[in-house]
Amino acid sequence: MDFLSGFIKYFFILASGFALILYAIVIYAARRASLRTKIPIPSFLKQVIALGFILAIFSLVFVLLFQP
Amino acid sequence: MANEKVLFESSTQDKKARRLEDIPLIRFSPGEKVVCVQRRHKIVLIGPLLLPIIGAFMLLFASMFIIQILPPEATASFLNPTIFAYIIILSTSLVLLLEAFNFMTWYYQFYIITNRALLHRHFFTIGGFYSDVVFLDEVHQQQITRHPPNFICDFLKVQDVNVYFHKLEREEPFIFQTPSNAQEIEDLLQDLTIKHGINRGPT
Repeated sequence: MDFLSGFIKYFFILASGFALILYAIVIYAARRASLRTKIPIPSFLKQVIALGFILAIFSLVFVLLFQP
Repeated sequence: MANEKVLFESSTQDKKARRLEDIPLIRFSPGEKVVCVQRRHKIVLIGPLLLPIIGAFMLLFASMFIIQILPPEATASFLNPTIFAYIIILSTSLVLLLEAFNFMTWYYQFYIITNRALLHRHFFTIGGFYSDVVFLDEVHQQQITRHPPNFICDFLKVQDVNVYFHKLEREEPFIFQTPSNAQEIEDLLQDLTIKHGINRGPT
């Protein structure tokens, strides 16, 4: 069970890290598109991305602090 | 219809809505001017936006069902509420990411018609830059057709516009996939074809 719980914990850490990397890629691509077209990103979309990014960070902190 | 070509009023610095034709999306050659800029019709957003949400709910219900039917010993570690909370938080984050990605793929994709070229540009791309350009001075338009891709689009009067050229010049047609106003595109292309034909003169 120790091996299983350790495996679960590190798997979740990897999953959260991967989500954060994906968010960074999407935010970079969005900024590049916005700069290239001179069309700003809609404000509601910025809020959605911000919320998702915060949830991804929270999930990483969550799995580090609370041992599943 | 005019509202579809207006930007979202999203920027606090720019409260006045601008037309897509007024934004310099491409670099112009001398004498070239933009005739029409359109995005794809909003109907194409429905599937990509709903699918991640439906998929997440289905996975959630499936996992709850599996946990119910498995014996308690097998799921002792998975019944931990901490893991459930984590999975829900991460799933929500990934669903929001997919929604944002699908929306921006639509939002920064344009069909641009100038007096000299037809362009299809994706500005929001993860790997590279997508652009398809047909120079009207170099190719001869043979045929312009409009047809709906499926019966739902037919019901909503949303159509694809296919522009065919000489086979030796360009084999595959230039396709405007579900633009926001297919009729306008067809009318403009007909006008451009007539003008180019007049400019070339009799052969």
